[in-house]
Amino acid sequence: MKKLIQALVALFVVSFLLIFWVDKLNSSQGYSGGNTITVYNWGGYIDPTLIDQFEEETGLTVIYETFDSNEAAMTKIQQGGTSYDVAVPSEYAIEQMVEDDLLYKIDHSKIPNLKNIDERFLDLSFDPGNQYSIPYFWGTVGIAYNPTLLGDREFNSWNDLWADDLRNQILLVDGAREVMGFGLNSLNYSLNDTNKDHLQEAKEKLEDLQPNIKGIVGDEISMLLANGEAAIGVVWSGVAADIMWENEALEYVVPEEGSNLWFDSMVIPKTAKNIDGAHQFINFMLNAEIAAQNTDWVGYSTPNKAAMELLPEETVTDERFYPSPELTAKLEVYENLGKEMLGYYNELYLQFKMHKK
Amino acid sequence: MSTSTIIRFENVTKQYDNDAAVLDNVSFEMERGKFYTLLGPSGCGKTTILRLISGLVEASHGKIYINDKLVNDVPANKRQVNTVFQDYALFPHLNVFENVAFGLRVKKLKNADIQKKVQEALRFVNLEAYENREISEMSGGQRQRVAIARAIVNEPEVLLLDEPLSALDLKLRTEMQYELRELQRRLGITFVFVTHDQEEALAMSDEIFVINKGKIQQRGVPTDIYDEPINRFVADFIGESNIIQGKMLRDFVVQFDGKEFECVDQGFNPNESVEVVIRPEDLEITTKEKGHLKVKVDSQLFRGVHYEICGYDENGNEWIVHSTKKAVVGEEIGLYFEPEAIHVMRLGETEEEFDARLEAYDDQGVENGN
Amino acid sequence: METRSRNLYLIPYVLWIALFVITPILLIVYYSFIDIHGNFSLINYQKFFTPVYLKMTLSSFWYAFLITAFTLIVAYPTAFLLTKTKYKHLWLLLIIVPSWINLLLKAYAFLGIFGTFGFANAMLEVFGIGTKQILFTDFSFIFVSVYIFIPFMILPIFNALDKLNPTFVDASRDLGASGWTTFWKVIVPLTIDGVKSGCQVVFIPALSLFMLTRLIAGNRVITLGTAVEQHFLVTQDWGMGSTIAVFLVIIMAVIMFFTGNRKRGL
Repeated sequence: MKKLIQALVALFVVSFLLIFWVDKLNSSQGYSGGNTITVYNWGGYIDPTLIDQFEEETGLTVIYETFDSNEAAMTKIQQGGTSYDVAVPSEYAIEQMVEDDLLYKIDHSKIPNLKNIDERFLDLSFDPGNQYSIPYFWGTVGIAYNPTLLGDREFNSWNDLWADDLRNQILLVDGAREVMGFGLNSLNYSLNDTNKDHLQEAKEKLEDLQPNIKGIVGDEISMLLANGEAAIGVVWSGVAADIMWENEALEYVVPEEGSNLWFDSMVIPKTAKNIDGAHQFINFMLNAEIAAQNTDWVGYSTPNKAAMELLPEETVTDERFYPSPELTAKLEVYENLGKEMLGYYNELYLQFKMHKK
Repeated sequence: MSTSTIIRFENVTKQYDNDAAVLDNVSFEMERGKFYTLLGPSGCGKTTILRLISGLVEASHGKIYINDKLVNDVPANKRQVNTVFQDYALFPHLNVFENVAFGLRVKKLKNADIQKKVQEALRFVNLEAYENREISEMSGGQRQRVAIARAIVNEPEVLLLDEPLSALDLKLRTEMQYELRELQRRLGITFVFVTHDQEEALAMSDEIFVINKGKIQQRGVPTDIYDEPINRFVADFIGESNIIQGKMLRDFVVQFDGKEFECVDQGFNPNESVEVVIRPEDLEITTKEKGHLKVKVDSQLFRGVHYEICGYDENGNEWIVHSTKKAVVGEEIGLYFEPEAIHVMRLGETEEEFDARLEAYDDQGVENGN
Repeated sequence: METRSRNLYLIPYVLWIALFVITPILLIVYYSFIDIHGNFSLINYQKFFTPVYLKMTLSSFWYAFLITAFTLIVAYPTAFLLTKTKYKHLWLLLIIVPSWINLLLKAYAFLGIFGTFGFANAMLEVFGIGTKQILFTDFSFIFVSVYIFIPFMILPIFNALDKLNPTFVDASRDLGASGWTTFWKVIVPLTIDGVKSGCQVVFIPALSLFMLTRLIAGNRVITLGTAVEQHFLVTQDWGMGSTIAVFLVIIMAVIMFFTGNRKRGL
């Protein structure tokens, strides 16, 4: 017993010493409020050399942390365990965070590079006047498909997915808004529709799609599609870009009925400690050259007009990732439907998932 | 081989892997309706014999017959023998009734028959009222009886008992000795009883097999084994003995401790080296002058029915005496014994040779007597 | 003095239980009565008794049952053979080792093995059966779950078999029972406690499996665990998530009660 207690005490002492040491190391390397900024972003969503460049230019130290879902990011920001100075959530999460008073207003005077952003992507419904957020990347939801597995088939309409000969060929991303959204779109309803009859109709239509669905999966969808596990996937454009980078045979299309337009935007959470640094970082990322380099590395669509001019012609004219104005007009941003409606969406989505082929 | 033979071993050897044989070329016969005891120290092979009979282990060499039928290839569950195990091995998940009924249920008897037979068996071991008890609620002695009932309910021709009394306290053990003997008489079947307790063996058996190091050292009725042990091991293992080196000068005269003594043994070569056995209770304490031997008392223990006195003679030999009379430690006493008390053992004699020698001079004795 | 120092020793345990056992359960119960607007209500319980959730509960039960049954079918003979081997503890260790590997890693490995161009289909090709869809089927889900749970089932059964006094088997043989009868009438009843704890250890987590339902079953299998995850992470309807959790706790308690070990002595 005595030995056990001694061992425990020793363990505690060692643990405290380690914590103390880490703390000291951190402060000696300048990891403290004044000259560091903490960035909270999606995994693999920045060219790492840009962080070094930013540190060099500003003398600030960047602590970079990643998340894999908006919900997880929101929860962590809300709890305030770590004080994040810049975060990059999606538009519907931003709307929610504004509602919950989790964000600082952004001082536009400190972001001169804001002029680089295409006006099409400013002043949108989820954040009028861009008071709280500055766009980082944007994209769509569409159909990624593998023509080598399907012959010369084309997908212009969401309804093409319902074809009888596509049994067991389709993978879907596991997201209620995405799946319900294309269900609604296929019926020519808005993907922000709140009419319960329309939603019910969309759910029933999706249930008819079940025989064609191979699986409803998460991030592994890019690996599965790249490996040819399935011929068709309903994915975000960013995921499609990843897959096409791995397997050039794949194609991506945004169906004619319209689809979702999404934004990942930079925000400053209320827990931020280095608000000045945060503004510096946002402004840095909007610099035309920096944004161009980052776009090239990440492979998503940039809202930065100045950067687009620096990017190769074939990149920015690629209609798969920079859709024509006519199509863009049909794209919709997810609106915050309120918890109750979101719950209803989820309920229907759950029912759809449980519907057996 | 007589028709009354029920178990016969022919040159049976049991060996595990390449280890030394647990049982080394053993042959014997057992007769129907007798109480046999396999006696020996632990690890001598006595339990192996039991398991060979029950079929729980297979012989490496040799043949085993039950009822004149070769059973080497008959599995345990097909042999008409049952065992009472050392720790009883009563199934803890079954109550008393179901434990006893186990063998009958396996044989798919009718429920009514099972009911009747189980009750009968339980009555036999005086446990009528305990049918519905759990095993955990039974005392050691009761468990013992359940184990016996579970075995005999199958009406075996041979009942094997593997040290069944070793877990009981002394008083209960003595009681059970009577009960087992009585049970064997009433059932009239063969009992093969394994024990390392010589008193138990002597008290209960019709015949004892003394076993050591995988071999049967001596077999016979209890009195023969006690009075005429074949060798030092048997003499030492069965009861307490004073064993001393000696020389057989001629028939009926043996020399030990530097003196010549009259004895009843014969059939040895002149001047053959022998070992002499005298049981402690055959030694009588007397005065120095009257005794055959002069012994200085070294220690004395009170054993209840007798004193155990230990002393040394002038040649330094140790003598143990069981006497109802008290001696005084440090005093010299005389020890007296009759010629019949001396038992002379030939060195390295086998059982066959021993039996042959005894028989030879028994006949002679008859001739002489007449 | 004695008792007071003993009570002092108890403080950490009481604190632990209060903080990490009682508080979370109370919180879950509390949240289960809160609707999405933060008001006290019974709506979540009403919702649980709608066909969607009842169907989900039923399907959770069905899959958990299948997983437990197949795990048992594989694990019992394995444990039985293990006790008969010479280096049984080494073999046991070898069987347990895969459970040290991260679950996610194993699931990803199976994505590769069961894929259209994976090892399993390559084998099927070799045997002339041809490529089949293995991934995202009930089969793959149950197979992988069984694979993952097997060590947890083997361990208690192995311990029970190892502890089993071999004379019980001898006694049964001696009383005329064949190997088969001995197995069913003696060995199984005497190791049933190991089987029960093995089943608990498998059934209860199997009831709320969620990651495998997506990775291996492609959401073709929906369990209560999936729904809890969804409500906490996506819908942010903690109330409904908690309500399902409450039912899971109740179900588990009931299972524990019915498979509980009634001590028999010996």
